[in-house]
Amino acid sequence: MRERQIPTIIDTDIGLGHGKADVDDAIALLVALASPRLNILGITTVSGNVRSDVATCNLFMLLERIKRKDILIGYGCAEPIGGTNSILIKRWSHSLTNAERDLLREIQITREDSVSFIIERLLEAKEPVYIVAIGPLTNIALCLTQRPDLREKIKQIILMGGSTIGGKVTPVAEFNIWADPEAARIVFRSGLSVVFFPLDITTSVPITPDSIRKWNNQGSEFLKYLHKESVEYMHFRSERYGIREAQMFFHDVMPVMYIAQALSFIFEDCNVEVECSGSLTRGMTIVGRGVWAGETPIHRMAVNVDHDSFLKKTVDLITENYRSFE
Amino acid sequence: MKLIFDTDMIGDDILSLICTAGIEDVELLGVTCYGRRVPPAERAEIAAMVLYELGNTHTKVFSGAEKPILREPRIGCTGCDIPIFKFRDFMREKENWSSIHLSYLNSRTAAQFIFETCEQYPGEITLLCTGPLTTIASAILEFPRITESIKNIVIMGGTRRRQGNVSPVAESNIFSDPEAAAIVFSRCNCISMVGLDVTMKTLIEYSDDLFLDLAKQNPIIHELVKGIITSCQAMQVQRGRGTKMPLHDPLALLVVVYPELVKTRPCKVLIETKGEFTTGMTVCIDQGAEKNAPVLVAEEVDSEKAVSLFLKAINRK
Repeated sequence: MRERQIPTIIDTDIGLGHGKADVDDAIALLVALASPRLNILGITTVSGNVRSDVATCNLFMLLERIKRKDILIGYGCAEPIGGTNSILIKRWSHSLTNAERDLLREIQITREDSVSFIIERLLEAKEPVYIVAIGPLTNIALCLTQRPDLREKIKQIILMGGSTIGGKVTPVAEFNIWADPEAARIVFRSGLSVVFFPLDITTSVPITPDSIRKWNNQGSEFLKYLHKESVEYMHFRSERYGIREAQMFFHDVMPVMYIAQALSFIFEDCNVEVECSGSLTRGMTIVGRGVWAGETPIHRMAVNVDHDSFLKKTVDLITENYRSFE
Repeated sequence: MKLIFDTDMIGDDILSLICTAGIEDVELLGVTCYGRRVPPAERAEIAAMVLYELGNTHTKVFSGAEKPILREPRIGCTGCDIPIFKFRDFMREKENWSSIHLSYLNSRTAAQFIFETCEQYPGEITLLCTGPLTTIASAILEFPRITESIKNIVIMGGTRRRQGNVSPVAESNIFSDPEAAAIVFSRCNCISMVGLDVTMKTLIEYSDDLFLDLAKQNPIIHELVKGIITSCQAMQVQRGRGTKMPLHDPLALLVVVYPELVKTRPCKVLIETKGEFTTGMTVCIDQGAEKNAPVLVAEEVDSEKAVSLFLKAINRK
């Protein structure tokens, strides 16, 4: 008998296709799309790594390339709840080509915006849905504020975000949470259990050009393209942050490997607050663990994983499932 | 080395003060006291009593700031006050105390004393700070020149990676007066931060064997030390933090004398004063191999050696 599938909505700020943007969202989506365990109800886009219109085009092109136009998509939100800032505006400076602009117009006519899309999927779902959020939490927070009654249709929120070891975007904050702290606060305070994968664990497995070398010699143009984009991003990172070795992290892949491939992680129960004020600490996740976890910690932070197994399974899964694509 | 000790004279501060008597290299010029829970003059009185019992007649004692620069005072952990007040009451009843203690207490302000001493010995004074930084911040605001004549400041406070002890991200001394801490950390460029990352790894559990010499030399001080350590241990147990007492302030004193006890990371340290959940956090920004980083943040400690040096100092061996 076939295992029961897990109903899942994925929310992403996918940057693939617009150079210098992190490619881990794309890898994460590819893993999810190749996982029979998941019943993907849809994929929605949000502004984060790139502006949401760019993310929407990227998502559309990726699905087209791997012949998965059967997947439903939603577009937006464009603006974080707490507003944009100069760093985000600089990150969002990609402009769309004419073809992309036409594509986007069509998507906006024929599809729903992300928030309505998620609400619709939750309304029609027969059993509680898993939400996998691998970008800022704007869409999810707006769903929760507009339809608090739909909380019971959400089984769990699984997200990549937060850090207790500082971050790159500020000395104390991780990008996804920092980009929309108000949204993150709404999500962590919604009463729903959040399973989160902070920088602490996602940066524990560095990915080097060598880790993904395989993708280059499968005779697949698509895998070669993924390889090239990843390696370019690694070099871009090492330049930007002054790191000697070219490397990147599969941040967003971790929550997907957990839910879609049942990869085993070690978790710690905790509570989480998100700093929305703070002259230095806006966007920081304050994780109460151990003596600070309180009486009833409802969130779970991923703290450990078998590094080799995560890396090997991810790379192999991509290789095996996408080697026939051009 | 010439030392001024700025303290709130609660539990482990007193252990540090006692240790100064057992380290030959330390020349303790003055003790300035912040008034946690009782007026600063009362904390100063306790410092004077300890010095008197240790036979120290040269160190001057001052009462410092009474409350934080902007905020309401925090009560903090009262666990160690019982043995300390017991010691104070005992001393007060001792013959002649009131006339003796006048010779320690000083009418100048703590800030004035710190400034004048630094001017008198430019580049020679180490400030050891183990309480809220209010008095030091006041001294800096009143006498900005002071930052040029201080040799260095060793601060027990803050945390870099470890969870805090008053919130998940903040340590008590900084949290008690974040505005003062912000002044000190932004104006001074010769700070050693001895925070929870290392002090929580430097632990002691009381047993009579460890303090045999002290018990022989000075039963009154021994009683005080025993009372402080055991009541602090009881607090730790109550809070689910294990059975041992962290030697926060004694470690800071030891780092003054034996800097090699800790491995440090050159940082710039900013203090969050506006956060809803992060106020009092020491935001440490890595300065790489920067030789002139304003703050050296202790991140690892040879705790076995630290504990043995602590026992050596307190037993005056």
